[in-house]
Amino acid sequence: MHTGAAPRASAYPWRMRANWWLKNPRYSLYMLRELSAVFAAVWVVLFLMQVPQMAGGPEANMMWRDSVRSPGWIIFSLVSLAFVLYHAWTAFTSVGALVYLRVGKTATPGSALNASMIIAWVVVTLVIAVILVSPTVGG
Amino acid sequence: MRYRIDTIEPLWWGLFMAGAGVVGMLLPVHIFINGLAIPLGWVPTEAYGPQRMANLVGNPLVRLYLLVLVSLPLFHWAHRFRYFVFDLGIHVARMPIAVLCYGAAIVGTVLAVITLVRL
Repeated sequence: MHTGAAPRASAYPWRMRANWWLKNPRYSLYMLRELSAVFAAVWVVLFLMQVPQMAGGPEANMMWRDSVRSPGWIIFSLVSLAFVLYHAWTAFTSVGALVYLRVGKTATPGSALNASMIIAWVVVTLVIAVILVSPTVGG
Repeated sequence: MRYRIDTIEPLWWGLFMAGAGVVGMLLPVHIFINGLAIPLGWVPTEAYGPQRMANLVGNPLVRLYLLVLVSLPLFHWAHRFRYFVFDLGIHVARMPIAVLCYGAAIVGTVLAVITLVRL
C-alpha cells in the first residue's frame, strides 16, 4: 500500500520579478491591454450615471448635454476608445490562432476566422451607430 | 479562508469572457457616439433629445441591453484586474483582492439594475 505520497503544492511558485513586463515591449503591450479593462469599467460606470439625466426631461437632458461637453469627458472617452479598440483588435485577430473550425473535411484558415470577426464587428458597430444617431429609429 | 479556485473560477472566467465580448464588440461604438460624437456636435440634436431618450429607455429591451453593456464589462474588469495585480508581483491578500474585485462588479451590477428600473 502506498502511503508516502508527497503533499501537493498549493500554488505554482512565482519566480518573476515585479518589473518583468518592462523587459520587453511585447510584455508591456500585454500589460497595457490588461489595463484596457480599467478604462472600459470606469467608462461604463460614468455612462450609467448619465442615463437618468439623458432621459430625465428637458432640463435634465440639457444639463447632461452641457456636462458631456467638458474636455475631461471627451479626453477620457478618447483614451478609453483607444484602449477598447486595442482590446478588440487583439482579441479578434487572435481568433484564428485560438479556434479550429472545420467545414466538411476542410479546416477554415485562421485569416478567414479573423476576418469574419472584424466583419461582424463592423456590422454590429454600424447597426448600433445608425440606431443611436437616427432620430426616427426607436424613438 | 482558502480561495476555492477549482469550484468558482469557471463562473468568474465565464463572466470575464462574456465581458470581453461586450467590451470589444459593443463598447467602442458607444464610447465613440456618447463620448465624442455627441459632445463634439457630430450627431443631430434630435437624436438625443429628452423625448427620444425617454422613449428609448422606456423600452424594456433597451434597459436589458444597457444592463448587459454596464454589468459585463465590470466583471471583465474584476477578473482581469485581479490577475493584473498578481502580474505586478503582488501576491499577498489574494482572497481580499478577489473579494474586492468581484464584489465591486456585483455592487455595480446591483446599482445598474436599480438605476435602470427607476428610470
